[in-house]
Amino acid sequence: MSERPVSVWLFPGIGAVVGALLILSFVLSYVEMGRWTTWIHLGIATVQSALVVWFSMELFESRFSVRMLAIITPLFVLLLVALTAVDPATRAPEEVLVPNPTIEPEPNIHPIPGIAYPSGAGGHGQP
Amino acid sequence: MHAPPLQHHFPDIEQQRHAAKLGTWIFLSSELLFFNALFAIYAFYRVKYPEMFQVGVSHNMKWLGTINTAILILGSVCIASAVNFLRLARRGPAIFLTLVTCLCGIGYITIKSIEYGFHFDEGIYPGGAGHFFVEHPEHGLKAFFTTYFLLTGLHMIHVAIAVAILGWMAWWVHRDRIGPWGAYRLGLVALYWHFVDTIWLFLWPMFYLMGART
Amino acid sequence: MKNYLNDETTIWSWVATTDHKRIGLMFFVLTILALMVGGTFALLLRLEHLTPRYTIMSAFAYNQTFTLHGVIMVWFFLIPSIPSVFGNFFVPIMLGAQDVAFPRINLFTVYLYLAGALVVFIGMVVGGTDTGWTFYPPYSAQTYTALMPVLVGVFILGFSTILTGLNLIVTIHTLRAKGMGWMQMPLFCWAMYGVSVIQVLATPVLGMVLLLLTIDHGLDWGLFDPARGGDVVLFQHLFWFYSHPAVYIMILPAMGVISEVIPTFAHKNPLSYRAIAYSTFGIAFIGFLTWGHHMFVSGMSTFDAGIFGILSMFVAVFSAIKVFTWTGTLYKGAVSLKTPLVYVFGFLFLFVFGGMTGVAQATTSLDVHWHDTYFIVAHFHFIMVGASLTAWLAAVHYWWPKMFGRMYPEKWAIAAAILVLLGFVGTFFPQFLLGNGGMPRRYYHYAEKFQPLHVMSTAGSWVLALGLLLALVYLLWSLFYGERAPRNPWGSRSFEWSAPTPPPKHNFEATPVFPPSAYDYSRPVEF
Repeated sequence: MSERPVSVWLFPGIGAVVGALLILSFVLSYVEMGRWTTWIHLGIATVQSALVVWFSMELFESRFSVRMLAIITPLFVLLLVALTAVDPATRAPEEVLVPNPTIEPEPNIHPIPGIAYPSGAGGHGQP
Repeated sequence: MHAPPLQHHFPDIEQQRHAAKLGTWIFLSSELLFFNALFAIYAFYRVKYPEMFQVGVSHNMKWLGTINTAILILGSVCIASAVNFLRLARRGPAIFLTLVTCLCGIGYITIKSIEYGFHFDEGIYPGGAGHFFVEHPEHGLKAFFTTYFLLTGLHMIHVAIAVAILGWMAWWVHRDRIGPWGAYRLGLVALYWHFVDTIWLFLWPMFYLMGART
Repeated sequence: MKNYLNDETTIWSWVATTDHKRIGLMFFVLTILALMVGGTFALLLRLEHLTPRYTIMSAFAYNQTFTLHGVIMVWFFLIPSIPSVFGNFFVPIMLGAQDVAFPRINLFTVYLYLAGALVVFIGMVVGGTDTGWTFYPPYSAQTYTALMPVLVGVFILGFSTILTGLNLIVTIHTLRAKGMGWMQMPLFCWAMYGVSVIQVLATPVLGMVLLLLTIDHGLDWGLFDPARGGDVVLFQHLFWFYSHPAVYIMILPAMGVISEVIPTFAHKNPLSYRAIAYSTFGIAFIGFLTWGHHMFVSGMSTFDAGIFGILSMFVAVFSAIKVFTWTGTLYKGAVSLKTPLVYVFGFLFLFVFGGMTGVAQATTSLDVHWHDTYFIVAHFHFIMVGASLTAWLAAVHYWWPKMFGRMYPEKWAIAAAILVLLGFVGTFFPQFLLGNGGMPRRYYHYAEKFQPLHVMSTAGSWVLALGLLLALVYLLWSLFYGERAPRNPWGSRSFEWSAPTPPPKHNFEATPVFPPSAYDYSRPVEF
């Protein structure tokens, strides 16, 4: 793993490509892309990051263990983001809630599990 | 120029350097997972409040965000080149480019702070505080801006840390007259900068581009 | 003879040590202290539950007690109990190395643990917190109790966990002896590798969650406040993304211990080395996919709940692979029933029992009834205590001779093991019945009809405590009066037994040359 120097133009070159993608993403933000907006912008960001990680972070000359790490970790990001976002995406629509009448327990009486609230209070008398 | 000491428990210097590299990458992975929770928060609230997030994104100053992105990319190019120059035993350019990277970081922080200043002027504070949220009471906007301050604030702290460490590295290369053997250490620290840059490459579309009105 | 214990005897040589064995020992003492504190809280909780109303503490104190019990047991005992102690101590020796990859970072993890423990202790002293160890908002954002020190203390401890994991991963990658491939290293190392991956990838999310709660609680950012667009279910997603893999942090090391003890005491090589090695990663991986099963009734979408329910079932496959492999290893082995193996038998029964209730709970339709009842409490205690603690006790007894050069008294140890295992079942089996009968968890008052089972559970807790106390006494006794241990009292083929007993500072007298397998019982023992 002795690192040999690379051409001095490699990193400016990569920077230029990443910069070009920057301009592309910027310009596309003015274009109406509907459902694809998110994915296109994130896709461009992914390509930019991949270039930075592969070249600037020297993954091209790193060992297998390091490369595995660089692949696995973003997958975990994807995992948490995806399964967390699925939750609000698949919830039933929030209906307008009718405020529940407040249940006023009798003073000095502790609600006891398994027994309904004393009658005379509103609400559903749930245990 | 002196060679690095071989620690007693490593069989050879190659293995020691690989261990340092692997260790640094594992640390960066843990940092990415640290940000992961915040990405999840963004995704969750974005799915929950799609229109308000688009309003929030449009509200941000796209030009400033883009300039900041360009600055970080420039910093990436500089520090990667610095490491390369150090491998070529050209200490002068290496130190110079490391310092330029630090300047990029400082420039980024300056612009970001100015941006925060604009937000505060408009009455946008984290936690849904500020008169902006009185005029625009939609919940989604509060969620958007709190998430925005969280993510960009934490990112800015990381940029500051990167600037500090890189500054120290520039001093180290200069003071100890570091040669090619030390390039790998500068490279490890450079990984931190690249990591911070990569995070921002995602934050930038998330907060400035996705859904910005034309 | 000079060994790592008497090599240098100044206080500074311990305080500033970079010797992984001394660091492991320091964690050993610290985790035992945590176990005693957390265990005391548990005994107090059980005392309170002797009667359905006030017994010894107020409802507020009760909430604080179960919160601190959870916080201390999970983070300050269970998670470091095997990796930071036996992982630190034995992984380098098993690999034929002189130390872990980053010895100074290793020392730093001890101080991080201490700092975290100190901050939580301060929190305890100023009143503790009453949110439960799960810190759910909105209550956690509003409670007036000393939540901040507890959050900050655990946050600091999280870094100790991450750095230990980092150290072990790099050690296993880079410091294996010449000729030792991945498939030659002892299975305990595989378990340490798997748990370290989880520690490195999951703990940062916890760190962020705690940080967010701190910001919410302290700066009132209302990130999870519905009045400001926040969603409390989001907190639960983030919390459990860490905390579910955390339970695999607690069980994988235990499984690693089992994988060492069984071949040794059955004098037989494992039925399938690869099955155990690969299933470790199966568990580590699947463990990340299942967090939503803690949230079935939280208000999460039923679609997401369905996904998590299905994914949760899969983890049982890998656990089953391990159990079958272990049982197959025991079968037709020349079994010698020493204390470590007694604990292993306890583990096998209790882990399977507890694990099956886990699979049952993964079914949404069943969990809707069991969630937040004592059924869940019983399930996770079967795994955390019945499996993890039992395996920890097996590890303590198994490696005691190597660590201290003394044998523990076998008859007392077996007696204590019986007390521990019976006491455990007496404590927690009634809790399955309680939960199934409707007893909610974290409730201070309960209906009269639950009292008999609660009394049984409390009685069981005293037997369990007695067993553990007995173990502590004879173990301490053995340090001074125990029979001196030979290099390899169990006749194990695993590599750590080749080092002297106790090991010298750099582990080996000369660079070790290991036989090709750590489990070849067909050859006579070489060390």
